[in-house]
Amino acid sequence: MVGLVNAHGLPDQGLKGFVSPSAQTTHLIGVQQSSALSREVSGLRSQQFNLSNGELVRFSHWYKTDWPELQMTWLTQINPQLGLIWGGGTGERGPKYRIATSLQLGFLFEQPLSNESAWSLRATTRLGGRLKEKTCLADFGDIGGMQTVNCRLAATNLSPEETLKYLLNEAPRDRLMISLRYVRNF
Amino acid sequence: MKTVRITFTLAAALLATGQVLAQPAVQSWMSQEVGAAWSQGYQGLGVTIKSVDDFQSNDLSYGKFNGKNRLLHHGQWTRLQANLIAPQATMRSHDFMKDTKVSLATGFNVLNLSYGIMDRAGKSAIQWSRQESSIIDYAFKGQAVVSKAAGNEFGAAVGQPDKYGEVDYLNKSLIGAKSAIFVGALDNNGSPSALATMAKYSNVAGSSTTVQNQFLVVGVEGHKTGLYGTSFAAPIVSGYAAILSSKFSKADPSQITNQLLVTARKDTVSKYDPAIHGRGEASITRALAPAAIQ
Repeated sequence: MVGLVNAHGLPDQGLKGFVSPSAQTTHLIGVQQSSALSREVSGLRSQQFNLSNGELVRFSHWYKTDWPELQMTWLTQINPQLGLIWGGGTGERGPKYRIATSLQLGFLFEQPLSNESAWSLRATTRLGGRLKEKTCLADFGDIGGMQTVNCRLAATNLSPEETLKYLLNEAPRDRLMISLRYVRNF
Repeated sequence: MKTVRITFTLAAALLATGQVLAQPAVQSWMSQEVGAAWSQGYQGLGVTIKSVDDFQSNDLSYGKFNGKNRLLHHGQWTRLQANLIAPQATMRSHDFMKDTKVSLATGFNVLNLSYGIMDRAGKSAIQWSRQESSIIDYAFKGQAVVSKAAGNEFGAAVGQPDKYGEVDYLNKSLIGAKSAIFVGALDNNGSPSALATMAKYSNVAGSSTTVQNQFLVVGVEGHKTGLYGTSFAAPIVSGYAAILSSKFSKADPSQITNQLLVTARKDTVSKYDPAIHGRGEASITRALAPAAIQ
């Protein structure tokens, strides 16, 4: 994970750090590799179970990826008070899951209250970026035949069809983010 | 003259009584696999376990399953034990002293038999009562999983005379039945790193491959419960059958029986020998798992 930084290598401080009254500019304000959903999937890789003949099935090859999701965010100044936030995520995929590519849109509005203080409103939404888990085909032999199952829960006491209710199907954690901030300099 | 022998060995325990309550908690005497099997919440739902046993004689025994010492009938113990393994199963009792036909419930049925019918060896045929003939019939027709305690005469094989020259004819009559399992006892629940040994009292599978293929062993940790004997091995397999059936609700008793038998582990018992351990130690996690996945 690279972490959330702005183009100046500083934590996001709103428009004040970026906006020049004379020109419309764009700044990279966030770069992050491995999103929350990506980290959730990576947590599954250490799990395993035994088949009925004792053979070990490791989850690592089902939930591995060659490219952890990369998310980047930019801020484009519209006027001294308003900036457009935009960006996207590359998505991520492995043999048994997929995180869709995403588009991030939003705005940052900043209103000075005095020379020392200001308030700002930031709102963003992420379109796409949903995590979807794929199914496995399990052979339960004479007792259950071939059945589509949730790979992770195939060996539990849940019925094969019941396991499908627990397939991961999650929206990105930052699908809608709103923050209101008051800053006063001393 | 035939006699009913309860396959149970009494151990000393403290005096106390209490209610018979099923608590969905993994207990120290259970295989660790049971907790894993419970992890998703299904614990024998939709299955009826009927304990054919003694529920009314004057013979009461002390033991301890869920933290409390109690004085209970043999049948109350075996029923409670199966219920602790499969807490959501519907539990039914059939007192074997009544000697009436054993009825089955709607849905999937498991019959727990923690007793034997002993008589001197050499009889060519037994005139079964309605009780045993109904059980044998269910087992051969595959209408109920019949979990049968193997017996408490170590060295004696299922269906063969013990050192007293007696045979458990109920065992003998269940040999070859497609949904009957003979259950022997290990001293402990086994694991590859802590192999379990055959309990000194338990009957063994013997040289018959038919019996070997119907024979399982499970840990009976009497040092924790005060309850020894293959009487307390059979209810564990009854509970496993209930858990397995709740997952594979379309499977019939023969299929559930076969799954428990073919997924038994040989690597958790010391000096595995099919003539002693049959198929090996019952493994509920192996039985629940697929044979292959992709």
